[in-house]
Amino acid sequence: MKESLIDAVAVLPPTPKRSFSPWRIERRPDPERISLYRISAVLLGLAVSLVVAPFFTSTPPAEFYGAIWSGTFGSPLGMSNVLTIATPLILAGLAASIPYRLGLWNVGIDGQMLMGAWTATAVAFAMPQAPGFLMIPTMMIAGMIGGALWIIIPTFARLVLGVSEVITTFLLNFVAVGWVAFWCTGPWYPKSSAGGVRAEPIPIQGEIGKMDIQGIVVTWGILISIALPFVFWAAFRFTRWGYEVTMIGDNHRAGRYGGMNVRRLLVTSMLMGGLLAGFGGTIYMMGTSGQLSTSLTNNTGFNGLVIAVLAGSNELAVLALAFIYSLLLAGGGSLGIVGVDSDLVFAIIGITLIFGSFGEAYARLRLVRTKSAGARSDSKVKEAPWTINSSH
Amino acid sequence: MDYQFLALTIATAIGISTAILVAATGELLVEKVGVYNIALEGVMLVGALTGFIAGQTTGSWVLGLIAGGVAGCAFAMVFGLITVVLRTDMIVVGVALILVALGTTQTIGSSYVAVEAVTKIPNADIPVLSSLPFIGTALFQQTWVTYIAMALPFVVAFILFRTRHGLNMRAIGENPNAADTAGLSIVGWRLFYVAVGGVLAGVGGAYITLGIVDSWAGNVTAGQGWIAFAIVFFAGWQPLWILVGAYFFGALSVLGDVGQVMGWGVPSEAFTVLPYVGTVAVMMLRAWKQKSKGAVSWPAALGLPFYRG
Repeated sequence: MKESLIDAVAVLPPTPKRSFSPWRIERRPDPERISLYRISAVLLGLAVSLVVAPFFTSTPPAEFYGAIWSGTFGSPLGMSNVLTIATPLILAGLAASIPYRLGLWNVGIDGQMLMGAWTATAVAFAMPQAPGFLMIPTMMIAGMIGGALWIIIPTFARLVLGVSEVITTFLLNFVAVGWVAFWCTGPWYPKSSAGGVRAEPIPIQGEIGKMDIQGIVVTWGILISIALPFVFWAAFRFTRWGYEVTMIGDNHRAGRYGGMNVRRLLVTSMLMGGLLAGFGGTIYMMGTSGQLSTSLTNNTGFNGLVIAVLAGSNELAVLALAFIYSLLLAGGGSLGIVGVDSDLVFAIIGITLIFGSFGEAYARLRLVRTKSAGARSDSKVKEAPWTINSSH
Repeated sequence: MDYQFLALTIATAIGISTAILVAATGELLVEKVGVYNIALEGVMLVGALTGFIAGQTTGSWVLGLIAGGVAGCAFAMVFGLITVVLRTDMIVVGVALILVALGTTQTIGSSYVAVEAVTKIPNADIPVLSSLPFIGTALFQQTWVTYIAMALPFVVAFILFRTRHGLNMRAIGENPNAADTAGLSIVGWRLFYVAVGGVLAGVGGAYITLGIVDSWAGNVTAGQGWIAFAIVFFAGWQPLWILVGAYFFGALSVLGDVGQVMGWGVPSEAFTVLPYVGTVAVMMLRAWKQKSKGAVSWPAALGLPFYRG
């Protein structure tokens, strides 16, 4: 059926080409410094949207920026919020970044976070009398396993059946929300309900401790979150797995000719993504919320995905961007005090991202003046499939 | 369950599926030319707020739906310009636009929260047919929009599979290079259908605020855009299956409520989750069946930016 369709197109009489503009967009033959353009565009977008944002509200700009300042660097409480938000966000960024190195999209991080937190909660409720030193590590491991299990079906669907992991990982988010909602309204219905779809809090010894650094209160989960990007950064440089993933990310075929098991690497990096997401959800639940709820992730997964794409396969950039992102989210959250809907921050982030896309497009594409139809030069340089030493 | 109740349940299911059906049909057109507008939920939100505000100010639901469609079109065109013309990644731009839609509609619409709509889309009983027992109540006491929405997949099926225009569309989604060689403007066609999909999603969104809930609230679409997005995959890019999928998923959300009232003992989450589980399962089953034939059900160039050569 496919063949017949294409044949049909081929025999159509060619329509005369009408050119509406003397300009044409084409690929730059040598796209370089893409991440430089992207990051500069993101920063520009951030500046522009932050300057414009107060004019969409009825709040005086001074109060607007004052609220953002005191919600971030300006107060210990603000800084505590920033770090609390950053803790799962860094992990979500890594959870997207590692499959992304191989060209795989993990759009299901929110679901994996929820399932990780669910598994950890199940384990905690199964051993309510266990001491903390036993319960905390068990819950963390359970959370990682729960997150990884939630990505198995999309991984299988992609590798065996060829179904795009973009859609399957994405749709499973909603299934995870439903699953958690069922447990929160049914078996784990809290003894004292306080609004929202929340489960009974986990046993107190299962919560991870908090540090107090000059008034900035944050769980020690942040230490793990900050350490992991460095661990992965090192792993991609100094281990065989990291080398193979980097290699194949650049060029699948080269890796296969080099004798690497591409399929195994795709599976491990997807599972690693799910595992990190599950861990992120667990650590947030154990440190901050103290109970499972459907709103546990609050779009942390999508934000992580965006961070990973902006960071462009660089774990340290994930860390930096997650921190900037957390500043925005915490600052936006504090806008409620001056009567601004805190969802405005989503618009700021969205517009910033769109600027980033423009930056990327500028790095990749260029405008050329179209000449007469016959003399059009085709400057596209085709990269040989076996080229290994590409510039990135 | 007595028959009157069953008929009313069916009527409700059909009524609330309208927005999803319209948006999903639009998304199908977009995906047939090789673009997936993952920002569908955002487009619907923009349409929902604009439609509601237009309805409040003009007092006319027709103008409300038109305004919703225009706003949806404009918002989708932002997506189209960035992804189709500038060839950037559809997923990131889609997520960004959903965030923009969520943030701006919430901020702009805050003064319209909990205000009752001054104009509602009225039910239009079809003469004779609507007085039939059972079927009349279930099917023929809907709004005009619902009747049109029912016909829409058939129109789309005719265009796609019976006209040269549709052949060109499919060619662009399957093999843009061949279509380009045949003289079609890939960017032009794709932009045009992103706009058409935006109009339909915007009208769908406006239908939610003017025809279903009759008010505005933040995030009023509540995932209906995602369901519409999923239905296109569920339907395997077949227009008539969009009709089946939309009514099936619409019925599920009504069944969840009915089950609560009737005390079926089935958790309502089962009904909310089923569309997504079903879509994933159907996609995998179809891929498994087609694997031996070496064919795929989705447009082969879906999601790929087009470069000449």
